[in-house]
Amino acid sequence: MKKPLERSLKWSRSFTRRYPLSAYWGIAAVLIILLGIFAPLVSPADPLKPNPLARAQGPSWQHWLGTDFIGRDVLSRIVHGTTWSLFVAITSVLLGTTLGGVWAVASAFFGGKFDLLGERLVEVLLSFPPILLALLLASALGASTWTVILSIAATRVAYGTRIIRSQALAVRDIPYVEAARGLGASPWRIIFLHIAPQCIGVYLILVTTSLGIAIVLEATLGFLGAGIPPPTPTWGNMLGDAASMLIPKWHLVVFPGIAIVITVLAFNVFGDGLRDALDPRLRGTNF
Amino acid sequence: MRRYLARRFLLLIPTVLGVTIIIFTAMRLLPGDPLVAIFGLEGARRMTPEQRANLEQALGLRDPVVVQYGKWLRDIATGEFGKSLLRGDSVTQFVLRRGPITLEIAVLATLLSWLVGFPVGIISALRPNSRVDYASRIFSILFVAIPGFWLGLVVVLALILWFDYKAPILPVYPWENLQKNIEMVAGPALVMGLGFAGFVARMVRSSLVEVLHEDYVRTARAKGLHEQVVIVRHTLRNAILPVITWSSLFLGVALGGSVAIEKAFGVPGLGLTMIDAILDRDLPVVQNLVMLYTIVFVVVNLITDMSYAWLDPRIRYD
Repeated sequence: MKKPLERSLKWSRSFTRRYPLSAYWGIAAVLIILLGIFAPLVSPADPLKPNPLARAQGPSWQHWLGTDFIGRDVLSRIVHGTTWSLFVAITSVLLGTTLGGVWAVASAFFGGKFDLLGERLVEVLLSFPPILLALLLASALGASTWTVILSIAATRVAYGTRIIRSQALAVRDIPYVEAARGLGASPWRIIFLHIAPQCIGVYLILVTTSLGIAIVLEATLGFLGAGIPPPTPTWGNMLGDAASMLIPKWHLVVFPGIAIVITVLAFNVFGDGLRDALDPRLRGTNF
Repeated sequence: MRRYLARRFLLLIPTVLGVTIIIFTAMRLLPGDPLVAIFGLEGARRMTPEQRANLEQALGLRDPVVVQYGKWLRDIATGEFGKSLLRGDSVTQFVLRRGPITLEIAVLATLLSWLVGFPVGIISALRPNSRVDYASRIFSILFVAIPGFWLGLVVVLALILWFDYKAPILPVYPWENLQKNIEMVAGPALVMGLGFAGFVARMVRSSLVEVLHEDYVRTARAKGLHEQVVIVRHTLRNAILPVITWSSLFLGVALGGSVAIEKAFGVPGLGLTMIDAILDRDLPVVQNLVMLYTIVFVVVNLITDMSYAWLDPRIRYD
């Protein structure tokens, strides 16, 4: 097990040298994910406990980022929001892209009617503006964490299929695949051992560059009132709460938004570097 | 080209049918009772089963699902987009009244994205790895990452705190009162336009850098052409055209994006109508408005694809 570790260390060192900015933001992304995992240990207070004596207070030493309209600590809510926002974003992107990718590899391999049907389905999904599709599905399925994840995943499937399919089509025609077929390998063996591994790079790029989009989609759903139901703290819910008041408080609007922007920046810049390092042809294919 | 066009149009039919199935299914799944949406909780509860049956009959809710679907397809094919359950206005009226505002925001945002994105991207590409380049790349990365609706909220907050801003209730059209109209659409257009500008600057930069490495640019320089002529006539033209074509996609993206941004500003456009209808369970409005949005989206995408093929003879889709 020593060799792969050494190799990946070497790779990350050369990645850092060539794309220093992406590497730094990649570290930031890892730190944000760690923050999400260890939120209960880091957060200074209970994110759900209201305090009637400290309602809508600005930042102070006791509450660094202030309190919301029923006196909950904003910093704690943002820290716990990291868990939820990242959980939703990562799960939905993995789900959507994997589904799209498996479908793409299978449809590139089998071709014919299967492929044609898949392409039509992709076109149907791409006919909706992403946020509208997510909004429609999230409201239709009813508000819960998993319906939000499914709705965002649905907007990712088509991109996964499109991009991974073209990669799989290119790989399918490389002579070594033909050789495997000539040796009598079964279709599934060819798909999993010969075509799929060649698509992993594209898949990884797609996943990292989609994370930022998924975070914004989740926040938008929360803001529009179609996201994870309260009192669960997510960044979008916090913005939705803040905006529903007649006279909004600046700290309730500004801080959750900054959390979103930093996280999206981290994933986007890291994803850009990863894409340039692994497959520069994919520039400008995802938005 | 003509065969390609015909093929694309034919393929549009199964796509649109698929879209209608998704929308229709989502509408049947939407939790909530349409009669509650019309008469309120109290009104719906006080109804006798007979009244309820009659109303459901009248609204076509008693028909088998397939019949309902068929009726809806017939309606949209004949341009009959249904009526709001709550307000009695037809969806067509909504579109005519509020569509212009959303369209105005989308067009202004696209223009702004060119106005900002092109200079930023061009300067950045002509002096790669200079300070200006870094500054403009930071600009584009940042504005791609900032969610438009949040920037909108921040702008509205500043307006409320410093200028006593009140969200408009009724749409004001440019031909009625230009100043009031601009006041209404400027915020959403600015916020959306800056987000697009980030994408444009990025596209312009990478496209221009690519063209600057082409052989014919080297030839032009070797001929001893003035650098300005090389840039303007040989490079910019080839680099900018694809970006302009590509940014027509913004018109479609703006439709989706405007839902949250109009909500943030409280601007009475179609996006706000959409989210209100979804929250109020005003099914006919949601169903037909989503349908119209996807039709516009699909048509915009199609026009973009076709103009690629038309502008660049190397691209042929078979």
